[in-house]
Amino acid sequence: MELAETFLNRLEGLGPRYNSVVTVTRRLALKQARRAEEEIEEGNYRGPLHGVPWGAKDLLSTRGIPTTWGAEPFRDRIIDADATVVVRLRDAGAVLCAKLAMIEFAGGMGYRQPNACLTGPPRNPWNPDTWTGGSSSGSGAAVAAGLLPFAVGSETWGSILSPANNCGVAGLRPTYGRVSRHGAMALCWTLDKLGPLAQTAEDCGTILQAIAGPDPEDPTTIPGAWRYNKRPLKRRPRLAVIKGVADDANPEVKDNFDDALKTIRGYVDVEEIDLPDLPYEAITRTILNAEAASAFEDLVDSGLTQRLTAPEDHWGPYARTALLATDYLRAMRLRGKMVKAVTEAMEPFDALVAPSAKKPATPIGEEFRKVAPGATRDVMGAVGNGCGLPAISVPDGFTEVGLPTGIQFMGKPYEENTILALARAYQGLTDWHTRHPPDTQP
Amino acid sequence: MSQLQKKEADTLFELVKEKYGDRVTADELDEMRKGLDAILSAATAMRAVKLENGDEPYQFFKPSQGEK
Repeated sequence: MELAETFLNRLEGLGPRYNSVVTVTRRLALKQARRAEEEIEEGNYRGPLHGVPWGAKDLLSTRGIPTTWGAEPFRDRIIDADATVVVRLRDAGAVLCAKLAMIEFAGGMGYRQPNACLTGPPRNPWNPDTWTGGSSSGSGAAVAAGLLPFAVGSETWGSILSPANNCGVAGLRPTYGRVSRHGAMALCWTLDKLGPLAQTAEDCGTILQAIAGPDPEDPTTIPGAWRYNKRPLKRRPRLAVIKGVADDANPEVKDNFDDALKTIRGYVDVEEIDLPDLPYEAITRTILNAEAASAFEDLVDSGLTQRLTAPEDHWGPYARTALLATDYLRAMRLRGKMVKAVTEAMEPFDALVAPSAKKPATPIGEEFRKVAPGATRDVMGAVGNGCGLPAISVPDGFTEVGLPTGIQFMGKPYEENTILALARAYQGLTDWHTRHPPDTQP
Repeated sequence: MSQLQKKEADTLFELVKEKYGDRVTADELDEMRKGLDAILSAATAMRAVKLENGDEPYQFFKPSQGEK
């Protein structure tokens, strides 16, 4: 109870400072915390998440509590059912304390700047004049500021890794199909994944075990339970860096990444590789555009998007309605070639490694992209999401002005335990994850 | 952009304009055109890759969820 009270007070006191919370679920949290306390006292211990507070990105449905998808038109909308992830964490004894802020429709309308949430622009606890990243913005901020021990976010392309990078926390994007998306907002059916944001890779593994596994309500889920393996890798790991992957990164991001590679070189082999020449970004972006156009077709046609917070989200979804079916199918056919090429390139290695993002948090009032989504290079994001590969971001340093930067380990499909072991080993060699933002007292 | 690609972009943009043009300003219309050009530029990059007749979409259709 004490733990829940502590975090509820922090959510209520500090949540508005960072625009990171949509709804504090105080009544539900206290009920769940009381039950957890009683069960633990009776010796019925459910596991490591029993009694632990958490927050859900506000695209996960929760019975009796608004689920806004971050969008003004849905401010009071209740989807009266619990998402599978919510049920699984309840069964693990975790205590749902908040629905967390997110970019409206998970960025599916093409936003270009942080002020794209019904709760206001999500502010970064490391410097509230900078952005958290998105679209799991509140999830990143809440964990970084110690408003919650962990959160569950979602990623279609970058939405877990980006806030993990900007907020200096660990963010795990599982293999596509590892976690049921039943009850979560759909942005792109063949790209959406749910995953944890927490303080460490270790925590991410524990949380993933609780939420992973098959679900008859989501036919894309991978059969068989997934168990978190805390043991280190038995062999000397081999990592690959895609040639030139950090060349266009911010200099401080690049320096921190180079330092991170130096740190791990004593324990792992690192080689540069080339990927075969394919239009990776075009493939994944086209899939995203086509599926999002269909997922939100009725909503866009209804004119509801005209009431969204970001002006560019009013007209952003219109152009993609002209995308041809043959181009979507070409992207899906090329996806097979992409999977084959990436599988072959990764075969000798345990993981690809790269900066989690090319730049640290950008100013809160500034456009973080001035062009249409997809026009900038992000081969790791395109390949990782297009091929459904797991990846974890953990902090790898800070910029001169104190903003975190991150390193990502991207694994083969179903190899979450490998990338967790690598990230855990890196966190064992560094102390970036033990640093916390200043001034996070209510 | 080739002449044919430009014609394709113009034609598709007319459709978008027809459907949503009354909801946007002239500046927003310009941005929408840039968005469509980015979509078609991705399409052009993909169309340049040779595919064989048997290269199926990487999405597996099953008649039902049950195993037989």
